[in-house]
Amino acid sequence: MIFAIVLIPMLAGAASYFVKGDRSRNTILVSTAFLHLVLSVGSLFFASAPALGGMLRFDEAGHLFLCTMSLLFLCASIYAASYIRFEGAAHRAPDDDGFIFADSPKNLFTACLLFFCGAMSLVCAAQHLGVLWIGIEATTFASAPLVYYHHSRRSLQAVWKYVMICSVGIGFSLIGNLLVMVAFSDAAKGSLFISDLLGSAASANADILMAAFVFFLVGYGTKTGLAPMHSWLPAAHGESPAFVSSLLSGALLNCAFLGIFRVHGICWSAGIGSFSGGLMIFMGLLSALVAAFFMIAQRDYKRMLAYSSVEHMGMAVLGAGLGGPAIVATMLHMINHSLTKGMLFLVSGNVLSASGTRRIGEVKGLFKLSPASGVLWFAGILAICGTPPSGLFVSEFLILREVFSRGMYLSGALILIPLLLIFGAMSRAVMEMFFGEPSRGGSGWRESASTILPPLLLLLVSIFLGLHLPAPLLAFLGKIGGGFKL
Amino acid sequence: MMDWLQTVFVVMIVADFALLASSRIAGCINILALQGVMLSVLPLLNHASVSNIFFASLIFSIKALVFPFLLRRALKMVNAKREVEPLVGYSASILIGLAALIFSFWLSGRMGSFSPGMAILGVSASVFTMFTGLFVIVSRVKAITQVVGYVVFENGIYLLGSSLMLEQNMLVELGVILDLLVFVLLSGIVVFHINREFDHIDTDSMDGDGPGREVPLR
Repeated sequence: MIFAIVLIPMLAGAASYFVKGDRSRNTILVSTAFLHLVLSVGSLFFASAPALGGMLRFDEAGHLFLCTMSLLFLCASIYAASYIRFEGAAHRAPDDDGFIFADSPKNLFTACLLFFCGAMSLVCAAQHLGVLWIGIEATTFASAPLVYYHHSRRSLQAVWKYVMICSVGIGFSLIGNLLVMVAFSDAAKGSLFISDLLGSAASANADILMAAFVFFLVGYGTKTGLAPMHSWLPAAHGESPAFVSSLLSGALLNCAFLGIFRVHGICWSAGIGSFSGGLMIFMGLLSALVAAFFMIAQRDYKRMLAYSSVEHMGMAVLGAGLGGPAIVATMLHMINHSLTKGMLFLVSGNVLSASGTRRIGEVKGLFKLSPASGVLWFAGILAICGTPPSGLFVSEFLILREVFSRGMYLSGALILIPLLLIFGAMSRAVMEMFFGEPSRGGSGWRESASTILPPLLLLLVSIFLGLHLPAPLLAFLGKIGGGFKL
Repeated sequence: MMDWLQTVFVVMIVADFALLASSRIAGCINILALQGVMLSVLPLLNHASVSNIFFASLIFSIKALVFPFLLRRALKMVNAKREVEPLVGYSASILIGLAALIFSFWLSGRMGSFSPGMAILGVSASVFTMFTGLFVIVSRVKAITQVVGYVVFENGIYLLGSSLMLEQNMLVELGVILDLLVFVLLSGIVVFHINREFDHIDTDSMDGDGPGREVPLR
């Protein structure tokens, strides 16, 4: 079962590399995504045996992220199928710099998209720090060509930043792995199985483990997009096609966060949870603050969404740092952020196709250009700011309640101020995009079911989670272990 | 036996300084190859079992032959000037390197009290090598020198893994090799594209705005 979930996308990716014709490749993409979702959700109900000697197994946290990722991947691949068709028909227009650019070979692109899905499944299933590390490495490998889909100068710069910064981050987390092996050289005999590490955490060398955690936080934090290591994120999210940004933000950041979360759990059971948690709270607050200041001045709506991801990742890292009851809220936050941000990036692709520009000030009359996308954009922006009917309101509220109930008033204030600033910045941007008459309308792009329904579905799920938290989901979230049992 | 190990560590440190002072990209690549040779000797010095000989030859072929070859080819392919073009001058780089070396000795001395089995000189050499790699990445303008910096950074991680004297070193060796292969593959492609798009491999002037700044849209 686990092998199927990890390997089917990779094999399908390899197959689609050799298939000719957009239509058949799109069929492979969408049907694999659908099969992946069925298998991921299905394995919730059938206990599947651990694979590779226990290296791969779905625990609650991993399974939750897997299902979210799989749903998002299905929506993104339906969107991608229509996008690739549209691009094939009517591209070769100059980009914003006035340069003509070509696209990547489409077979390579579909293959990388599917391989990316497989790599992320591997991260979700990994119960061994080494395998986790390999999985996160593989996600960089698979997603770099995706970021560089449009061969323009700006995306080249973005992909260079992405590869360079994330590779250094991956290197840092390798050092973290080394130090964990040193810290557990007596306790767990150098094993990197998470269950072994959790079991023997009490007799580990706490000082070396602290050093290891710092390297993990910086290393995986780079990939999670925590400030000040976030600088690759706005570039990569801004330059890649809409559905790639959607996957990067909604699924890849979760995978990297899972890395931090696992190591934090080990620290927690080794009794240095207050150290690792304190660092995470600090990084979370810093990320939210930095994101807020960059968003105020942001003139590009895709980059604005990217900075919003930095803020939400900060919020999640803060929640995980608190530990205890905040873990449930954090996990809820991660799902809701994936759904809402994934949806918003998909809609941003519609806005870009309809208006032909990524500058906030130049999009005019969005409702007239593309009514359905306009409504979705408006609702999505409200939702991502944590306005009540959305699921993010619930999760942010729960995290904040935990902050205040522990008497951390300064931290509470430091997280509320960025939230307010971001709400202001985003709503101003939305207002600018709605008023006025459409100026550049002749892009030949029309809304279609495949570009409207996927984001709509994601939004509806997020709103549903905001209105009503199903009891089975809460029970499932409550079972998340990873060393946080109090 | 121990003397050879110490020699390897000292050569690594000297090579790092040579890298910081080197003004020609071709020279940097030669230093990289020298470090590769040094690292490939390490598994043999521990004990010469079959698997260690295998790893030594793998590391030798990748780090001392394949990477330098690829980098030299990339250098020949691009019509870049052959100078390094540092943002921080050579003598300032050396001074910063000295400070970093002192810091690495202090750090490894402190770490030595926690785990007695490790080689102090090896840990300081590896921390210093990692630092040199990162410093070259941030202080040199050209994409190809940044690749060199990254490979040096990975050399440092590998050296750290060897000098911590872990029993199951397999993961480190495999990890570093995997990491490097992925990185060199990706960066090779990107350097090729940068070269084609911009006619030079200078990451600093990819846009008119200099490094690190948000690119305005127009």
